[in-house]
Amino acid sequence: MVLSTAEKSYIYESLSGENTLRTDSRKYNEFRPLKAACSFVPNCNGSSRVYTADGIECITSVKAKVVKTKDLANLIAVEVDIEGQRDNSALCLDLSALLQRSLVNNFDYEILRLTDKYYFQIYVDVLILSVPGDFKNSSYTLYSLLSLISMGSYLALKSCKLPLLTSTTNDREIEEEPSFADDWELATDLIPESSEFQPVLVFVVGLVGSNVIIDPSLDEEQVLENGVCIGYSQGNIVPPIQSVALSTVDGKPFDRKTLAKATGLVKEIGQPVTQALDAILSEEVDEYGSVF
Amino acid sequence: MSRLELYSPEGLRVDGRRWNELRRFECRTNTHPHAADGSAYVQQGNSKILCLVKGPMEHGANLAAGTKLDANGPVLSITINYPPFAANDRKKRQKNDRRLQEISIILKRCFMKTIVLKNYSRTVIDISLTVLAMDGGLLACFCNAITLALIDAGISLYDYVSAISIGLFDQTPLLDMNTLEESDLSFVTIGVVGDSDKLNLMLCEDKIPLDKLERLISLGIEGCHRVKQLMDHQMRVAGQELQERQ
Repeated sequence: MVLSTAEKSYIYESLSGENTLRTDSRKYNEFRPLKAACSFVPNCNGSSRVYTADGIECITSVKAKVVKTKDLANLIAVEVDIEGQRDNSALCLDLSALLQRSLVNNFDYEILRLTDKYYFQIYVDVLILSVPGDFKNSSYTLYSLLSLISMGSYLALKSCKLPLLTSTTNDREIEEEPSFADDWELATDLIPESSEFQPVLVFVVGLVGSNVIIDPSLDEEQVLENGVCIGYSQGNIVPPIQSVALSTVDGKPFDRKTLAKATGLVKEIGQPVTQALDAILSEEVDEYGSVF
Repeated sequence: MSRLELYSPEGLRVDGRRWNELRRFECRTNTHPHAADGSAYVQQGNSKILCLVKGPMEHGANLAAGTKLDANGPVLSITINYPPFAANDRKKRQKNDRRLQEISIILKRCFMKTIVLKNYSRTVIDISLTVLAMDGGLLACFCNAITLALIDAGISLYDYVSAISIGLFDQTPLLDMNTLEESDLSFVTIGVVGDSDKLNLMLCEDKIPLDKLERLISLGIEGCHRVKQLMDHQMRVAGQELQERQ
């Protein structure tokens, strides 16, 4: 929705005020409702679908491939595709790069290791099915999709299943190509339950005055002074901590205190969000179309 | 896989079907009520397709600049989204992939004959197709998904268009091919209007002996009628649900 100057000023005043009054009467640390489902694409090792009430939908798939490599930083490849946007548009490239870097920086490469020489290469493909209709003539940007995309990739990575390795894990002396069990029932999780590791979640926090709000809506984005994305993994704040342009209007600088407030907010909500996503993962999926 | 294994002497295909059996067909409509005016999800075996329809509207977002609105009917714009993960092996496709462009033109021609044109002069109907998983029958799945999504969007059609692919193994026609069969056998895709014998869509990219073609098409028409029944059943269920909600 394109906001008038008076509307903008009204929303700004209420957001930056003492009580952080938001347009949809959420608290400063409250998300909009989301729905999600996992493992519904038969061709992929892991897949997820996350969608919001306003029709934005993010479909994520994880595919694995066996490669012989020593270069661990290249084992994860992320590609984001947004409906109506070109593949090489700044938005798609920025979102892919940001997510890829955040995953690469906080990944446990042990779980990708097959033998001394062979690793699983992971391809994370993200598809945004529809964007709001007024996107082209409004002043918000779609960088806020980052939080949705990161939740999608979290779910897809967590639901990723890999075939069971039947050959030996030690091929230092004898050259041997890895072989796998034919039985898909024996498949193992990419991230075993015993593992402490959790894929990184990236939260988008809006800064307005000295207040911080999580998951800014499109209306709110247009009046925010700045936005930051903050990574969260296993109870800690992890890179990236980076400012993102949530609107095309020039922002204002923010001070260290506000940033500390933002990281504090992410630390506080990280745990409940992780729990909610894990609850989705434990739900049984009927592969015959009940996802839609 | 050798060509001989595709159809065993006992008359069974690689996935255990007989020559005239369809794969499991599932469909849903109104899957994305907030994102589009009409939406549908079609699953034929392991092929999964989503279709979103926006319109009829005055001007479309995905319309190429300079496209003129037509006084005699709608301008259909069909975009196909084939993400890299949809096929069994991950493969990146260009946005302007020629095969996909050709398919979108074929679909456009087919639906310009199916939509009641006079109701939609000077409008745009935006159809976007997304392949979630592909295991054969690309064009047939697209066609079925568009039919359902158009119905869901409330756009008037003369009748259903249901499509299916039929292949030829030696002397035997095979209904509803999967990827393995498609890669080794020649096949034809047809789309049938309602319960009639009228074809609105036909695509054959391989060589097929002319004397076999008639048998393929007559088997295809039977398959299409069955698909139409399944789609019609789903639409009736959806309509019933809508009525109960009111």
